[in-house]
Amino acid sequence: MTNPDPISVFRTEAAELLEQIESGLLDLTRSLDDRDRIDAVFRGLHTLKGSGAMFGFDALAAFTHHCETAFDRVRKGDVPATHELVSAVLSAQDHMRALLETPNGDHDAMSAALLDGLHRAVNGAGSPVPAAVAAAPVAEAAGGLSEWRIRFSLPVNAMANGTNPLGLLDEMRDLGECRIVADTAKVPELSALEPRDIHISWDVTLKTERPRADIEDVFIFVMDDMELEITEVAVEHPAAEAKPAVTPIAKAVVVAERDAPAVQAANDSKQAKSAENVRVPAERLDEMMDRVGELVIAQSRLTQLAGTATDLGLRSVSEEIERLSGELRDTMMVLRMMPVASLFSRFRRLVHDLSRETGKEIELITEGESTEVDKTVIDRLADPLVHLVRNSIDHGLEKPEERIAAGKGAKGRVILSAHQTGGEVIITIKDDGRGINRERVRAKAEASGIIQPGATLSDQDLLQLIFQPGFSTAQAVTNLSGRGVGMDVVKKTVEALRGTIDIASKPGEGSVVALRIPLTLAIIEGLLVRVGQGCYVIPLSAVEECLELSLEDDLRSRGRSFISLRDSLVPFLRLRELFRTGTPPDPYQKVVVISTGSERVGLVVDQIIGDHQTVIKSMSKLHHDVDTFSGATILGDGSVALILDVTHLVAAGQQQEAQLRAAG
Amino acid sequence: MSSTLSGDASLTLPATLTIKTILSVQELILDFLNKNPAIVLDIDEAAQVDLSFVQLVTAARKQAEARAGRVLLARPASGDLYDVLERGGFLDGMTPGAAHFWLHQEKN
Repeated sequence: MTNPDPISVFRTEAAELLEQIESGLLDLTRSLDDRDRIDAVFRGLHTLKGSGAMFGFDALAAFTHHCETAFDRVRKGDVPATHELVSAVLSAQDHMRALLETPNGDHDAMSAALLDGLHRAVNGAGSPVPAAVAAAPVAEAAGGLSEWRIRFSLPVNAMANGTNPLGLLDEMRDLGECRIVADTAKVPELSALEPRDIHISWDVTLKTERPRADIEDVFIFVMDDMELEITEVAVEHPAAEAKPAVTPIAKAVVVAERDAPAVQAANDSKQAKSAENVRVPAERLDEMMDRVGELVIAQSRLTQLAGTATDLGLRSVSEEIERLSGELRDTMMVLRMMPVASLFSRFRRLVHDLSRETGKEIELITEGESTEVDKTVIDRLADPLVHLVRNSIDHGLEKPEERIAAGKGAKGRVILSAHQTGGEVIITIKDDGRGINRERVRAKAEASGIIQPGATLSDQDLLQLIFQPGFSTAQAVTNLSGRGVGMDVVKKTVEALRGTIDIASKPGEGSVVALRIPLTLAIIEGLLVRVGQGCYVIPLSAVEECLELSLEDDLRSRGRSFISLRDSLVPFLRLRELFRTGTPPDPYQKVVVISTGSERVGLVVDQIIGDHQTVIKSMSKLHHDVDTFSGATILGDGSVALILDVTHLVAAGQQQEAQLRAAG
Repeated sequence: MSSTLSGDASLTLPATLTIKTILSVQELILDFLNKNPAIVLDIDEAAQVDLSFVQLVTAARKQAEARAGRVLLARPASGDLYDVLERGGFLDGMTPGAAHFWLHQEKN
């Protein structure tokens, strides 16, 4: 296997670093004097600058240097952390992404504008320095001249992560008179060396008036994972000039705090945990998923062949392979799953920015962040969710004065939550704003020609109009929404994921948009059925039960298309008629009852063949607009079976029911 | 004074000897060392060098010595290489063997 491209690895790591910096900045907005957060942001910026320079991203390194300097001043207590400064660095951080993605682009004007903003934020910060920040550097006041013995080895990946050991040694020299001796005893032979790792350690003797904290500060970026021993060997008190120049301290070994056993154990555990994780490019997972899909199809063919064979050995092997391929498929599915936390985390920044832009006070609450979804779903849902959250904030939430007048708290609330039910994950965006104005929605839809004036619509249909192309109720086009594009794209994206959108809204109380998305897009458990001569797959997660429909019942129900199911009427669709098979019905047809949420519909089929591991293949462009099917799959005998689009069929069944009820 | 012998195979190294290129430099030296037990590294005075290269050369010396071979420098460390040795703490407390290798100083 070839080594990964270091530039590509750097880009990935820098992107993660930027996320950490962003998260730290957002945390800081809640507690501006949190020294740990300030240090963490500073460390992140420093590492980004260092590794950027190392990998040739000079513009990124130079730009980041300014932000790092600003945070260094905050860290040292020279300037306070303010909301203005945090916002300026957040904006600068977006620019760092651009410098990372297109290092050779023309970024000068933007860099200059952002640095100007940063400069103003730093120098305009006239408020008093937060006590915790100001006090820290003073806590260990400089004493007399001391001699220190510092022995250290850096984290093995320090150089690869952008730390320049020579820079650390230079910083040490800046502290005072220094003798530095490198120890190469642990450097392995060339063939065993990973040359980006570092195996050199150092033994330093330093005479300085600076306190121990200043020595520790040299290692602030690598402190967590390194081995560091700082020993005060001798001390000279400036006031006591009559005393001997150097007073030996009886083996007063001062070991850095991080070497305490408990902390060390935690570090060991952290290192072990990090060693257990392997970074794999997403496309390799996709390739592997394709291979597993092909394996499942081949296994299905084998099962079919073995089923007709008399060879017991072949049957046994076939069953074993079926079991193994099922396990492999399940493992593969788990590998592709990611917690929605990775999706939700980006909304903290969005809400922070929107709050500043709109002047609205907003509280973002996230729930169910550990819910896991297929990686592709996460990737594709990002933009739709951004649009929905923007919409909630821009259209839904009121200005503080409006909210207070309406008897609500000044701060609006947006709740982003996820939970799993069966084979679906439901992601909801809920706000406590003014709710959707139905009159305005209707008026706008009529004016845009989306519906006829005075058209009869259910409440849900009326609300769903906001997802129609070209629909917008915003009276002014804002930076956030109101361009009349987006909500229809949201719907298309969700439907492309085989998902649905439900919407509910109460005037004055807020709105809830719920996205129901299948957990996976690659392989599903399906129920294989026959209708006429063709085979079809119904996603098993949607199947509630199967019933027999005798010829008599079938005849009796003609014209009504309802079955009675435990005292409730369920509409059903005859797939033979829907697909125009032109074949006579089997004497004992079956009804497969499927559901999405609370809506149910029965599908009349000729035969239920059984469960089937369904590798989903997308439909050809020619068939892309056929609503009834969401995809296709290849069966064991090589023939193609179409996968029924449950959402569409349930909606069709419900529509049929509504028409029949209306007709009396 | 040169420490090389006429039988030593000389390897001219590229101008960038930093962490950016260190993997390919390792391959180059390793390949050369596998073919020749005694090698001389020819490092341009203007070459860009960082600590990863000093570590690499140290590892190469260890490997050669373990196999009764040797690694030498074509000329005493200068330019960036000397700077890294100095800043990295390789000159303070340098052993006679190391001083002979890096700076071509006579062993006493």
